[in-house]
Amino acid sequence: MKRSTYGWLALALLALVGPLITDNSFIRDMWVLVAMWGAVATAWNLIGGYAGGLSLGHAAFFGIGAYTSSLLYTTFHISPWLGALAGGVLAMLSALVIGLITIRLRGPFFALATLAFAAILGIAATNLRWLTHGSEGMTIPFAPSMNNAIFASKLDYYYIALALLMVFIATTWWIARSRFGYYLVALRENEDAAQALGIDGLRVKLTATLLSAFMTALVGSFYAQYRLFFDPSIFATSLSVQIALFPIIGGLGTVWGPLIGAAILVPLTAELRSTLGSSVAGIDTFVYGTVLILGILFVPNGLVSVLRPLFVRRPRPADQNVQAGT
Amino acid sequence: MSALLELHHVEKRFGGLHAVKDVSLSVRAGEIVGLIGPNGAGKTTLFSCIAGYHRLTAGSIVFDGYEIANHPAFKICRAGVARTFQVVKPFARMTVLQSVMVGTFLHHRDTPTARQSALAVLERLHMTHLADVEAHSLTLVLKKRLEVARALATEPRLLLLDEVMAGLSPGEVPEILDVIHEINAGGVTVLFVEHIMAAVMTIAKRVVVLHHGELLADGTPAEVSRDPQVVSAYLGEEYAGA
Ligand SMILES: Nc1ncnc2c1ncn2[C@@H]1O[C@H](COP(=O)(O)OP(=O)(O)O)[C@@H](O)[C@H]1O
Ligand SMILES: [Mg+2]
Repeated sequence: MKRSTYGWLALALLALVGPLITDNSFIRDMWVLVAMWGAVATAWNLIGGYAGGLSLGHAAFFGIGAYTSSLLYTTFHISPWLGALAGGVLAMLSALVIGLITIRLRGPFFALATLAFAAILGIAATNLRWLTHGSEGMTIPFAPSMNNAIFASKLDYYYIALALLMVFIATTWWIARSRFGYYLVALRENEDAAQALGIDGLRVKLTATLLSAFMTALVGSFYAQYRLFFDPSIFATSLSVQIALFPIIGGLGTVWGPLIGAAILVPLTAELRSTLGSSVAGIDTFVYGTVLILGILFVPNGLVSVLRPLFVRRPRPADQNVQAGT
Repeated sequence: MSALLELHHVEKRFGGLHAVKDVSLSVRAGEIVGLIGPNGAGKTTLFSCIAGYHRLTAGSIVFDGYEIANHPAFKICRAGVARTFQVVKPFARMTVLQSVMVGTFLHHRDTPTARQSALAVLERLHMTHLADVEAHSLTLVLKKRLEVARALATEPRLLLLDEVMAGLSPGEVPEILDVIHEINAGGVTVLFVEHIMAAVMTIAKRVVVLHHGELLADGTPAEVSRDPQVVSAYLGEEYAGA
């Protein structure tokens, strides 16, 4: 067997049985969170990495997913499985509106517009108390069942998150090899030249945004079902930034980069908070920021560029690449 | 033969600057027409008007019987007009093959077919050996050639080439001339801007001269190079007898 085949088998085995190794609750939580944030980061990467639209508002879609499924469940007893789909559709509608307004904006203006969008939703969630319970937050009563999408074991959540992650990664893999993926990258690299080749830039980027919003909202619903509590801080800018950081560190516009970023940063954050958080106020954030800066300085193409040789036989000419295979 | 492209009184102003003035022009299907004129004459601006990158101040542009003036660039490309950019616009982090595939995807939806078709385009442009090179690492001369490859990849009926030979050494010119000649022979109408006069005179059956945004002359290379107005405006004494 080739080295790459061993690599993939080891990875699949790790993903399937890794969380079974220990029943330590903190570590199992890490597995769930890595899969979950890896999924969100993969969704963000479609627009942020492939299409080059730096969104700093993905917390909006995440929050829409969480609120929609939770409100439908707590108010009308609609199963969160369906509620998640409704949240996805609602996120797509909001992405359509916000996209039509912002997609023509280039660079920092697009980023700022998306940031403002999430901030507005945060304010709305705080003030529409009759609907969202305001800053008290949403609490979902613990009633484990398949229909309620509530589970007693973290393992159940893990395999659901893993399934979402795998579907998202497969979707990205497929897109990266299709016409749609080539069009996204072409638009990122040079919009004028892309239009000259017959690409309807607005439509293509809007499609990517809608897909990304839908995927992100699904994970938002998952998060609500996993934590059973959240409040308007789910729309926080810091969350949007965090979502963007995973792919930036792992590898923008690559299939596996976002997951790699999440696999490094999620445990790092948790570990820093638990070991340093109580010593000096803010020291964990300081160390975290330093690690990020070093990462961006020394591995500018993302960690995926360092790990790729383990999985791909023939080295690719570039790390950021439509056909990024690792 | 019927006109493939017709410009009627095309005007383009940038604020106070009158870049294109009342240009009317007709190009028949299958023609290969050279567009010449001094720097700043408005040649690139005229191309951008045709290809949908500038809104016209006035006038109309008809391609294959349909009005295309002020249509979005991507629709004009889909109608069958492809352009290159004088100031090259490569997809920096895509390979040469991938860049050309972006063009072939217009008529070939699935990836293997688009790749096959892109490889055929690269072969026509003698770029096969560069397929896996990233666009940003090409020399300017090759980036210009990639512009042609990408444009050709959309299978246009009209190709607008904007100074694609700039920077070539005299020895390299014949090769690209052959390429353009073959493209034209394959049924593609070509309108090209070029400063290398010898090149224009070799492949163009017809030359159009633009000066200060105005159409100064329109005729065979021999006619145009004898036109006294053209001679004084642009060609200079040394071409007077060409
Ligand atoms: N986008 C623009 N905005 C303002 N002025 C422009 C623009 N593009 C071209 N011009 C001006 O229009 C004139 C014609 O330019 P151009 O079409 O590039 O000439 P050519 O291609 O014949 O050298 C020049 O004076 C140029 O400075
Ligand atoms: Mg020019």
